[in-house]
Amino acid sequence: MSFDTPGYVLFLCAAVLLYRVCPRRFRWALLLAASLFFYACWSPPLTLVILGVVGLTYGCGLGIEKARDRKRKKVWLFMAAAGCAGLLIWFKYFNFLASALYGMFGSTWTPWSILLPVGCSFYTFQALSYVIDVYRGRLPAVRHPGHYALYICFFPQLVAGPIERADALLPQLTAAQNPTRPDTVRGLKLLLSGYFRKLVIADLAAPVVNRVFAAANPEGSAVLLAAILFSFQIYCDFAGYSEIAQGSAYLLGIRLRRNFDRPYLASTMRAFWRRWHMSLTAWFTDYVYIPLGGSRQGKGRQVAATLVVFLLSGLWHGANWTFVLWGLWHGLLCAGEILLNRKEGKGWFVTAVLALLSWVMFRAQSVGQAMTLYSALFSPWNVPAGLALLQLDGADAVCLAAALMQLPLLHRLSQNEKTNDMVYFVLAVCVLIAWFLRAAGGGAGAFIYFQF
Amino acid sequence: MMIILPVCVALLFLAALVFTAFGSLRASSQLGYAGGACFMLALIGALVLGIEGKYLLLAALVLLCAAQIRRRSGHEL
Repeated sequence: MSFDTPGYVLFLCAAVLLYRVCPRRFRWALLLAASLFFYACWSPPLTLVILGVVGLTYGCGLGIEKARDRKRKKVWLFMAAAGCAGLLIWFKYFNFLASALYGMFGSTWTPWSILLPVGCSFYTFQALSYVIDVYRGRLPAVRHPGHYALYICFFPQLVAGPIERADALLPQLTAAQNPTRPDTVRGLKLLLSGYFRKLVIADLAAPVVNRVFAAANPEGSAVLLAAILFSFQIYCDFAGYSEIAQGSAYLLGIRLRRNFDRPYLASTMRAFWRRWHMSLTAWFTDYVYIPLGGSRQGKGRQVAATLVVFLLSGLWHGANWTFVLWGLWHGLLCAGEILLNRKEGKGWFVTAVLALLSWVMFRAQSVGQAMTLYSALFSPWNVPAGLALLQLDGADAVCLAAALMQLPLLHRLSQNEKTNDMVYFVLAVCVLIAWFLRAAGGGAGAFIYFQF
Repeated sequence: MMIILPVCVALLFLAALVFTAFGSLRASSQLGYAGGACFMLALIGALVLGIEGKYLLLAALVLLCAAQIRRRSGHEL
């Protein structure tokens, strides 16, 4: 059940209504049942996988707390980490690793058909963060299995984050406070902003981007425009998803962390990563970067830790060399900034262009295709051919430009700033029209980050 | 009727645009609401006329652009 379907809207309304009438002591059970139903709508058998992760990490958390010495605690931690990593390797990276291994010996691997559980990368990371926090003594192990299962399975953030920490989310889930009126208003604003980002901006940009990235002979100017549009598409797609998740949670009186903060206005690449997918960046900072030495053990160590984090971040996004190279590209840029002591301030345009170039690699199906696109980008342009490839008529182009001009308004909306009711009304009209247009076109543009 | 309705729709949209822009400039909620009402009527007319969805979306987006005039100076609609 994707967020951008009428089914989800009905499901959310039913969940909110039932949550409000349900006695507080049973609310966790209601939310857990709703979350499992939500996940089972994707694939009922794969619900067992998430329940397996819940069982494993719940048991390991208790094991760590009960263990008398550090060595036994480490064994429990290792079991949880190995279980989660093994799951990810099997479902996400098995074919990739096997084909890389076969490629080294000059033979080809026929990929196995392995269905990736939706949100697997997100909920395993969330479960791991809990176990590590218990191991570090920052958090007591959760006794109530239902509360813990709800922390992992809470439906607004189950499929594509934000990756929440147990100390922030668990107390809210167990307290099950009544949603206040400001929470409801904030939630509705976030939902409106999120749906606008996804259905109007991302879905308007998607067909143009898809045409250029599917072309056998791409043209430079078309590639540039497609890369610009893709940078907005992926931002609005994922930020839109995150806002819908936040908005849905607000309607239940639960506050999720913010995941985006206008990343393209960052003046350095490191600042970009503090503003893009903030919950994942924070996860890698706390559980990989700092344990590797962070910034306190000299520049060499800091650069090495940065490169490791970005390589892992690239791999986290998908089992493809394009993601590895995309991660490496960002890692090298951040490492360069560390070595040059580059501070925030000027340099917004350069950072935006560097991020833009990296999106070509991210969106390409293979490294070979990315190279073709880069070579087209840096070859002499044939603008009429590019325009023909884009197949963008005047109305579509003006629509896209006008939709992108609403980004400041959406930011204010997500920041809970007041505006006129008329603006909400017109935004809602836009969302409805875009929804009908998509339904009439028969296209269902799934959220990009669902594949991760 | 075949000519009057499209003209009415166009005029209503124009009125919505003017009300919204002035409502935004003068930070007047009443003008903003008038703009919203005109837009709603224009929208109903456009649906009756069977105007293509992307043009309706375009009209709504243009109206949103008008609603953001002078926003930077701190005025609310």
